Amino acid sequence: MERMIVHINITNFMAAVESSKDPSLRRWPFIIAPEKQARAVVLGVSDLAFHEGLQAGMPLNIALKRLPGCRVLVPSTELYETAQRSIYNLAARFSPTVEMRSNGHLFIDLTGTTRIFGHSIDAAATIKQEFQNTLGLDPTTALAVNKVVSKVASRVVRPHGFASVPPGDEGGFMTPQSVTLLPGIGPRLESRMGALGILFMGELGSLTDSQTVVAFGAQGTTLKRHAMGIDTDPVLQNPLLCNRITHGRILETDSNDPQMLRAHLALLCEHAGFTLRSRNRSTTQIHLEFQYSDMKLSGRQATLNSPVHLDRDIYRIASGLMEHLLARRVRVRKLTLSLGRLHRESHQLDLFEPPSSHVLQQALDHLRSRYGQITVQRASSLGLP
Amino acid sequence: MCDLRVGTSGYDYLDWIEAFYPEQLSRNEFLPYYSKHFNTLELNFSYYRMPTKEQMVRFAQATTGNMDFSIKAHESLTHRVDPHLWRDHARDYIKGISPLMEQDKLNSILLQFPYSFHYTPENRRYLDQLITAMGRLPLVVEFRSAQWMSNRVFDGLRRREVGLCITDTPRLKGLPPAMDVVTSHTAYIRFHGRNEENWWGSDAAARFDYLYSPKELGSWIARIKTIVSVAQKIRVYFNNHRRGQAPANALMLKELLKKAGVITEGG
Repeated sequence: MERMIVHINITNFMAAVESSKDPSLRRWPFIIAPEKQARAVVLGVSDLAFHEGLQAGMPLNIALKRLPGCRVLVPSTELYETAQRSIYNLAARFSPTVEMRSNGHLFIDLTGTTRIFGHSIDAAATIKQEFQNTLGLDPTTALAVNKVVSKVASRVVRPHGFASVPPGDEGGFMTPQSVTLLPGIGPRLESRMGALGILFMGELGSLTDSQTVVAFGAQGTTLKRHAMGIDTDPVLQNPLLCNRITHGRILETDSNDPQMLRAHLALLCEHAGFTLRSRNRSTTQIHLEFQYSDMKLSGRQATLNSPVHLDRDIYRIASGLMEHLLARRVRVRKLTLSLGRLHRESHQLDLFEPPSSHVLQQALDHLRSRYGQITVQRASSLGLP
Repeated sequence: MCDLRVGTSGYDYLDWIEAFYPEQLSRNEFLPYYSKHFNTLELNFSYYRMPTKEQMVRFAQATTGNMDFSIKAHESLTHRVDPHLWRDHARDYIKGISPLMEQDKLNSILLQFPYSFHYTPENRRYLDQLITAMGRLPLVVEFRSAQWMSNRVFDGLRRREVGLCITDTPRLKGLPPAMDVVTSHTAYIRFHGRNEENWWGSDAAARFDYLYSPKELGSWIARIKTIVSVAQKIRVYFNNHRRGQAPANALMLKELLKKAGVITEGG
């Protein structure tokens, strides 16, 4: 059966979500950044601000010098997470196989859904329509037989366009495209390709396997296959928002102060742990990711033999992961904690009375559910927003 | 506010009688009747015959209201290009369509290139020279080869203020990808039908024998909404002309666009 993969990309995700919440924002350029912080950087830009030359990652003071009077919105992690959840729920109406990536990126496998949703190109356009009508978002939407081609097609027609590559013509479509559109090509590889005179995917695809390995190392053959439009990777069904609990915190000011980062991590663990227990779940997989000032991402993961569910245990494991991530001496902008492999809560109950740690946790959860998340928190994270 | 209009590719088809034109209507009355239902028309005859001033004056006079025209380029400029004569043909063509320009009824000139027009240095040079030779006329290019569908070409069209034709065709190997890209102030959409069985190896009549369903056209609303947000003008033409299917679908799309609030009652 012919595969049909839709790639959805909400360009300038944070700004798009803010605009969908308050449509009046669409009339003026705005940026998202922690306001009035000495070394704050821009986290997101609206379409209009982008056209004025502003970009995510730019120091806030430079952005405001370039566009004086530009409105600055304070980032709202909760709002963006809620939007991610809504996006997933909407996509899941069209297929059981949805691969959710961060910041409004996702793949939807529409293979075998023709009888329900009609021709794949109409189904893809209908998904775009649902995003417009239900969520107030206008995503770039691209349809192809695999993930790489659909992603490249969406990069050609962004920020809000629509594309559909006919099955069997992946190579023909990819040949004239710039290699910079290929997933996995960063500045270093791009510069290397430029030095070798490889500017278009057709040129990369025409190399022999041995030439690609010599030029680009072990990933060379994969890059070549992708440039030819060949990609057999399945859409990975990762119901991020059902079988995974993810919480993130954007720092007001980028920092690599371990004490400050531990305080943020403690808060994250408390929030994620509370969500975990409220769903009567425990976890055997803890993943911590840092986004640094230079926008690079780095993550560490721990897989556990026995499930945990207490804040104390989650924090102990997560802080171990953090020590590895702190090795990179670059300021951190965002921390994301994910709890995966969720199980029904399965700690052994004591015959007569539960251990004190469980009693304490229950009491804290009771207070938080009744009076709010920040009613009780660790002393180290007091004062954090 | 985007000026969005929907029409058909050609209007002078005898097999539209009963399906669109009333049975008693004479052929001379086709165009006035058409202009009561649509406010834009893509003229196709100009591909086969070099248009003349007299013809264009008659077209302008036969229509009422603010109707405008898009017109296909002559085959000597796109399909059968003589390297020594094409400049003369371009001059004749511009002269022929000048009444439409003078009366402000010209929307776009459609340069529709064949599958064999590949992305080669010679063809790129020719396209550049043709665009220059057409002066400041509003141009739209339709490519049938996927080799042209890249940002390098789109950026080149943007620099020259030339539109890219967005097409709806069957999703078949050998046809260019559908790409909603706007490269000038005018967005141009052509519906060719989705007759997969007869697309290859058939004559034009069989190839364009297709009636879009409301569901198929309904899925276009989101795409058109996005295009509306970036273009000043949009012209949509149905080329599935067999047995009056083009005007039926054009009316259907107009209705869907009205329901969605994309065009007003008079649009």
